[in-house]
Amino acid sequence: MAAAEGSDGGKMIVLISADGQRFELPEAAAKLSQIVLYMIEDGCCYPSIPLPKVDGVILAKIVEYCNKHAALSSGADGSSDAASERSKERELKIFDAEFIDVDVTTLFDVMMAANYLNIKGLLDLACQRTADLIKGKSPEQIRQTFGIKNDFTPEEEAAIRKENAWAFDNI
Amino acid sequence: MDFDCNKARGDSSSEDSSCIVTEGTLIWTRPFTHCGRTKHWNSLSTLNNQKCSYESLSDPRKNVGTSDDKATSMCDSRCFTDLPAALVCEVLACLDPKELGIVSCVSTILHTLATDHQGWKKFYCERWGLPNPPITLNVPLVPGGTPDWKSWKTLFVEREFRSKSFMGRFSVDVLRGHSEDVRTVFLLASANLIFTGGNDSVIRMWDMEEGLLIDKSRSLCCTIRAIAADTKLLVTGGTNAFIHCWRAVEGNSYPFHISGNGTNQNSEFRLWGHEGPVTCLALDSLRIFSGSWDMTVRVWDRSEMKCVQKFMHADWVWTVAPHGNTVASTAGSDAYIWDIRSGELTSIMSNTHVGNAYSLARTHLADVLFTGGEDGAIRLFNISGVSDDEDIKPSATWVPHTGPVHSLAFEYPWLVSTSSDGRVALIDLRKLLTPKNSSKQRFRVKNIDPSCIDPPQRMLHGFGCELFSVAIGADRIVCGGEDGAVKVWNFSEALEIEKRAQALRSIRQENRMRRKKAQVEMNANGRSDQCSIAMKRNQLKGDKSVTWYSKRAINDKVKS
Repeated sequence: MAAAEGSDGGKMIVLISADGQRFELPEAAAKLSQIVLYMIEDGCCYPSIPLPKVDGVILAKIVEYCNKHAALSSGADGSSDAASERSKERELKIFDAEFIDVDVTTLFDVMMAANYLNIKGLLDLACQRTADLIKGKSPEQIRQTFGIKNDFTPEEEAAIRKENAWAFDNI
Repeated sequence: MDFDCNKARGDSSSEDSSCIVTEGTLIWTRPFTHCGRTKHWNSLSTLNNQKCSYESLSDPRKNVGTSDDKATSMCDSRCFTDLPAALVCEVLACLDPKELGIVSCVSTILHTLATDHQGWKKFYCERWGLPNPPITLNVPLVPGGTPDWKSWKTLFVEREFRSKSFMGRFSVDVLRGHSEDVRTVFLLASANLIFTGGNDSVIRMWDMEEGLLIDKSRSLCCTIRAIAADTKLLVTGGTNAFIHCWRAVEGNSYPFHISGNGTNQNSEFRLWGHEGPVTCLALDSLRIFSGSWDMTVRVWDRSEMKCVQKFMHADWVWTVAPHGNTVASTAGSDAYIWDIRSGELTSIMSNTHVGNAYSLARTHLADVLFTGGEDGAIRLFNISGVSDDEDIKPSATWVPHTGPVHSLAFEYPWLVSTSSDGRVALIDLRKLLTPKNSSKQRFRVKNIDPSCIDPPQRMLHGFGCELFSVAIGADRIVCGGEDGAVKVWNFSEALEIEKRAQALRSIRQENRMRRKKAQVEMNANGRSDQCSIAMKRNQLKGDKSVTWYSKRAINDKVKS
C-alpha cells in the first residue's frame, strides 16, 4: 500500500491500536513519538504501525495531543514573530492543562503509553500532573487518591512515620 | 418492542459486566472494583432500578458511558504502584523534599523508591554542594556515594534540621589570644577547626567544639588578611604579598601543623606572584584563587602550585568567590564574573555600592551573587545567562547595617553579614532560593516576588566594635573583629532543644495513631454487633412479611 497523502500534502501515518482501531495522523505529528520516528526513518511504517500495547481510547487521546502540538509548533517555524509565538505557547499551555485533567487511571494509561511511545513532552506532562495530585496530601489521602494499599504492619508504619516526622510539620 | 431491544443488548453485553434481563428488571453484576464511579453506578441502579437501567440501555450516549466505565474498571487493576519503577521515579522527581518524605509513608514500594531516590542527592547538592568527607575517618570513598555510608536522604534531613537551629537559642564563646585586630576567620566544619588571623601576624587554629587553641604559627611578619582551608591545604595571605601554605600531614589528630615544630619542612611553603597585599583567598578541589590590591585575581594550580591565570581589574580587589567554572570578584565598587576556562570576563556589574564593595557570597543553588558594600547594604544579583552589554540590576537589596559590610558568608538558607557597626545580621533566604519543584526547570530569580524578600531574621550583637570577618558552618557562626577577640555563637543547644521537641512530637503522634486505631477497632466491633442485630431484625421482619404475604395469599384465595 502506497503512502496516503494528507489533505495538506504531507504524508499520513496510520497507527493501529491494540483493539484494532485505526488512527490517521500527519507525519509531523506522529514524529513526536521517538519510536514512531525511528520506524519512519527505517521505512517500516507502511501500510500502518501496529501498537499492541496501547488501547484505542488512550491512543485517541495521544493522537489528539500530537496533532495539537505538531500543528502549533510547525506554524512557529514559518513566522518567527515573538508575539504570535507567545500566544501559541499560551494556547499550548491551556490545551495541556485541559488535556491532562483526566481521572487517575486514564492518566496512568496515558503516562504508560507516552513512555512506550517515547513522547517526552507528554510524559513530562503526565508525571507533573501526577506529582501535582500528590502535593499537599497526607499519606492516607495519597492512598485514597491512587487506590494504593497500605501494606505496612502497624509497627513498620509507626517507625516510618517517626523517621519522616520532619515532613509532617504543617499537615 | 422496547423490551425486546433491552433483551438483545443485555445478551450482547461484554464479559466483565454481564446484564441479565428478567421480567423487565435488570440486575447488573460486576466484578467488585474499588473505583468510586462504579460503586456509584451500582448504587444508582439498585436505588432506581427499573428506570435507570432502561435509560442506560435505550440511550446510546449512556452506552458510551458504560464502555468508558468498563475501561476504567479494567485499568483500575493497575494503580500507581503498579507502574514501572522508572516511571514512579520520574513522578517522584517532580516533588520537593517534604513531599518525598510523605510519599515514603504511603506503602512499602513507595517507601523504597522514595527513600533511595536520586532526588535527595540533588536536593543536598543544590543547597550545600558535595559534602566534604570527614578527615578523621579513613573510609574508602565510593565514587558518587556519600561519606560514611549514610543515605543521601539521611544527610539531607540532618542538614536541613541543623539549618533551622540558627533561629534558636545560642551560647556565646569568646576565643582570646590575638593581641590586635582579627581581620579574617575561617571555619572548617568538616574538621571542627577554626582558623583566625589578623594584625598581629600570627595564624591561630582553634578547636570548634571546645573553643581551645590548638596551635599557632610563628609570626609571618605582616597583617594577615585572608585564610582559606580544606582538609588537604591551608592557605593564608596578607600584606607581604605572598601566600603562605600548609599541606595537611597524615596521621595526626589535627591535619595542619602550623607551628612547624619538628615537622617536615615540605609541608610548609610560600607562593610568590602578587605585587601587593593579598586580600582574599579561596579554594576548590583543583585550584587556589587569590585577590590582591595589585588589582589582579590569580588562579593557582594546586598540583603544581603555579599561577596559571591572571585576571586584571581596574581597582583594588577586595574579595573573590569561585563556583564551578566561574570566579566572581569585586574591585572598587564593581563586581566581576570571569570564566576560568576561557579566561575571559563574562560580565561586570558597575557601581554595585556607594563606595567599595567589600564582600561577596555565592550559593550552590543558583547563579546568584550577594555583594556587601561600604554603604551598609547587601545586594542580590542574578548572574545566570546575562551578556556583557546587559546592565545587571540588583534583584534585591537589604540594608541591615549602618556601617560598611566587611564580610558575607552563606550556608543554605542563611546569609550572614558583619559590619563596622558591630553587628551580625542573619537573613533567611529559604523563600527566595528554594528551587522550583520540577527537575526540568532551571532555577531562576528573575522576577522576584517582593514578599519573598524577608527582612533580616536575626541580629546578633558583637562587642560594639568593628567586625571584619564572619564564617558560618555546622551550628556555629564565627566572627572576628577589632579588639582581637573572636566570638563564636554556638547554636548546638537549639539543636538539642529541637531534637527533644521532635521526639516529643513523634511520641504524641504515635499515641494519636494508637488511639485512632483502637477507636477504629472498637467502632468495627460495635458496627458488626449492630449489623448482626439489624440482620436479625430483618430476618424477623422478613419472616413476618412472609407470613403476612402468605396470609394475604390465603385471603386472596379465600376471596377468590
